[in-house]
Amino acid sequence: MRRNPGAIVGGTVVGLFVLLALAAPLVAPSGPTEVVGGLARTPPGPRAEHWFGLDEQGRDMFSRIVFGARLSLLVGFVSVLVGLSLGLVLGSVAGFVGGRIDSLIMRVMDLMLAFPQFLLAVGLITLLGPGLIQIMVAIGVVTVPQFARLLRGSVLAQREADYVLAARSLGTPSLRILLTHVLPNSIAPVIVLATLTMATAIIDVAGLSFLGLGPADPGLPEWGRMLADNASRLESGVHLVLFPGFAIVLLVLGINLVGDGLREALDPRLGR
Amino acid sequence: MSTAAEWERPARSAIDPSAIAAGLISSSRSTNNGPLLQVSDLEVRFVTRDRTVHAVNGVSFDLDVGETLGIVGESGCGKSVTSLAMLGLLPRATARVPAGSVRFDGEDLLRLREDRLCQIRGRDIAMIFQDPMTSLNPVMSVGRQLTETVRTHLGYDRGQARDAAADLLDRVGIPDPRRRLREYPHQFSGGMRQRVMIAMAIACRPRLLIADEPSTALDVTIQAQILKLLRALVETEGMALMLITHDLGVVAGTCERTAVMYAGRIVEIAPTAELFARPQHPYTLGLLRSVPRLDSGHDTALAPIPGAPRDQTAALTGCAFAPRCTYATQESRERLPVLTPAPSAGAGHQVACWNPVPEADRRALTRLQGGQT
Amino acid sequence: MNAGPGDDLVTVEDLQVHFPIRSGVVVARQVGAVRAVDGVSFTIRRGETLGLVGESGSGKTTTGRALLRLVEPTGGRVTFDGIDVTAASAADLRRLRRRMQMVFQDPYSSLNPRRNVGNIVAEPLRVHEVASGRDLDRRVGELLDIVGLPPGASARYPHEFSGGQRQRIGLARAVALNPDLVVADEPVSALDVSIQAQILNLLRDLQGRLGLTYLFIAHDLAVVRHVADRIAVMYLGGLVEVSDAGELVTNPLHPYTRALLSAVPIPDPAVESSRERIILHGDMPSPAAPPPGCRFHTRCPWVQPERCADEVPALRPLASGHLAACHYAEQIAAGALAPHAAGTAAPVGAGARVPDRYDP
Repeated sequence: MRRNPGAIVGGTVVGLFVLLALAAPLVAPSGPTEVVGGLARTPPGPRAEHWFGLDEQGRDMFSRIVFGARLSLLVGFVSVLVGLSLGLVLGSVAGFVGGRIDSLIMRVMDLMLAFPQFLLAVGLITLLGPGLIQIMVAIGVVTVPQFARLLRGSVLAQREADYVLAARSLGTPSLRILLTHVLPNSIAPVIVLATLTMATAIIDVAGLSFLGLGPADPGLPEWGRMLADNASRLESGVHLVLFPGFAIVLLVLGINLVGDGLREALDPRLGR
Repeated sequence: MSTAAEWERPARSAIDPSAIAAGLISSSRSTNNGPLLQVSDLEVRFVTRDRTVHAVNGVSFDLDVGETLGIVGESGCGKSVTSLAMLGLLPRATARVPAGSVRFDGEDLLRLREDRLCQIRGRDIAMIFQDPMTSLNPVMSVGRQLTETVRTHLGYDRGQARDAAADLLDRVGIPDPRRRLREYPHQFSGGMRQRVMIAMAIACRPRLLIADEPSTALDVTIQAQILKLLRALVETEGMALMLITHDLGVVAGTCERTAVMYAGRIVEIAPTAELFARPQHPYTLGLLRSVPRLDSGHDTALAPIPGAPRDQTAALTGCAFAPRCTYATQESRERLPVLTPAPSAGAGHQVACWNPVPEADRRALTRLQGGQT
Repeated sequence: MNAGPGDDLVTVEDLQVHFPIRSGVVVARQVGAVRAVDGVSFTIRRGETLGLVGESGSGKTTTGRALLRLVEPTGGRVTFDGIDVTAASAADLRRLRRRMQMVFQDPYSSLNPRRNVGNIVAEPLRVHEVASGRDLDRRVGELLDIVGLPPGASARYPHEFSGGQRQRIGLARAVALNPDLVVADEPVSALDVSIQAQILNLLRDLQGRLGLTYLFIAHDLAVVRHVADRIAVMYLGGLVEVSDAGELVTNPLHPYTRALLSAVPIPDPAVESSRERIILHGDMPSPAAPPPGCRFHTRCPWVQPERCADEVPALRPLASGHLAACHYAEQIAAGALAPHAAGTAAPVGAGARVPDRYDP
């Protein structure tokens, strides 16, 4: 880890966001929907009492950003969790069992991959309806094929390894082999993908919000929504768009850097 | 019905190189004006962020025109690195050659510019590698790979090059060469691929061929074919051959002289028959005692060398083999032994050891092997 | 049920392992089969070491795996101590696996890199619920000791060990359940020369201490000669010769064995320069398309116009305990048949050059 300055920087940034998110009530000067100023056409920009200024409804931008971090991180985390767990099950079953089940699962995955990820998410949202949980599920489900494919490849490779053969020759039951031998050795690239997918999940949520498909509650301090609301009113105040946009970029970049560092640390060093 | 085998009787009219290896006939291809290759005090290190590997620690040897030299050692002894260093083929990022010279026909290869080195590679000195699977480009036809060599170095045009390529395949014993020129490496078997590599290597009639474990990855019957081919080519082309291997049996049958390497240094070098008959260095003796032989009795115990090959991340202080040596003394651990003529051995026999193997133990070895001297 | 010393522990009858070759994009049809093991029969006696020798493509590794049913046989029968292995149910097989174990060739891939050594060696004991807790730890310690590893090795990971040490770990795992039979698949091929001897000695040592029976699969005849009591030679999926180890080396009866023996390099220049060499031409035919009649006839120096290309020779006894699959074995041994001279080999390309022009 020492050797990858990018990963350290990324890790620090992500860590900072996580801290802010956790300590939001303590760090933020006011609540996310609390009105501290008046309605204004051109809300005030950054100043001493309000570091990021106020938005046109009089809410403190800094607080909104900080509480928004909670949201983004939550969505990123949960959707990846959904995608990862489903993808893990499907991928390992496909790779380990093989045969017709493998073909079936993979064809379904191929079908899903035929659609652009974002559009698929949009489609799912229209089916499920708006709402935070639905968004997380939709984004998560959309990432399943990537995880499944990757894991399947790893499992296929490990399945033929000598140590798996050794375990079979010892009389170890198949399920146990899958869980205790094959999976731990196949999971490294998947972990890396998970971190990178978290980044795309955050962007996806922002995108969905931007399109108006985000969480229904208009008060929620979702960064993408903030961008959407104010994108057409740049002349009202650059700070309205700058800070949410910046937050998205920073967090996503940080996660990507960590993912890269993880890939370096985990992959080739293993085994030899 | 055609046969697909040949029957070879020993020591027929022409000189059988393995007979030379046995010291029965002296090589008549002695030097005219100095050795073809002179390696002096070569050192190679690999430097990475966390550690330095001292791969080669002062290697010196000569090779005459048309001579076959075997370099024997286990993994990590530096034998492959030595040959790669000679041709400037080490990875640029991590390899350092802090000392030494490699004189080929008077020119120091280590000090040459890359373009001059490119001229020498393939043309004067050629190399073949262990794994024919990865040494040939899988997406290029065999013919193209062969003609590439010839056109680069000898300036042939396409037609000439194709003829030359077909001729080469024929000379290395590949039947139906014209048709096979159009084929790709995966359509050849392992032994055939190795022959293709050899064909590429001899295309420009190099004066020195370096073979790095050429038969290790092959089945033993194919190995025999390849070694025979190499011996024959040495004979007809007058090439010098540097054969790098871990297999003592291979050098016994192919090489006139043999050098034994351990921990990046040559610990013993002698005419092959002399080396096997009167090994001076405890490591050489240890190797000979630990290798199972086809012609020894079933109950002959193998006497393994205790310990494991040296970890090369530390610089040498004293003899590298001392921790595993039964004859080691305090001096061995402190002072690095240098190659000097062995006291009680034949001509051309050098050993780097403070305590060479006593006569009694050597005789015990020959008893072990059924009394061959 | 229990075979005594010297009795047959394992009986293999007409074992076949054919791998289907499928072709076609949408619907995969079987267009042929790789006949990796094509009718092999032999026995292994309790307490002995049977060496199974062959080159790549001979089917020796597949035979070893089929014995343990790590690969499913497509025909024939394997009997272990009177129990039919090939027909055993999953539960029976699991119980049988306690008594038959395997050691693998590659010390780097045969150990799970994510587990520590203690875990790896304890696995068989855990899977079969033989021991647990402190008892387990003690047993692991004993096993590590038997194979010559320090007790501290238990907490370390495979990548911290050298090739030879990893093979020791593999051995510890294989003998953990005190099996009757150990199939060693090229156990020393990937090791340095000086380490090979250590591991070979260890194998011999373990055999004595634990009363093991070995099937030693290898391509290196010199190594097999050293460890085996009897040797079986395989070529292209079939057995060509079986006999006592010493007898095989001094008096080979099958032409392939003779060629194989003459190709093995011997570390002695005097011997190398004076021995007869039989150099076979070409490569082993593909196991997907074996030659008709005798498998070896396309490369055999003694091939005859009658019988060799039409009739498959049976593995028959020619002397006590010495079997060979050759129609003309007796005549060849008696010197009545001469090997064919070189020069009549396959047609050449451009130029009327004979491929063996290098024959001195």
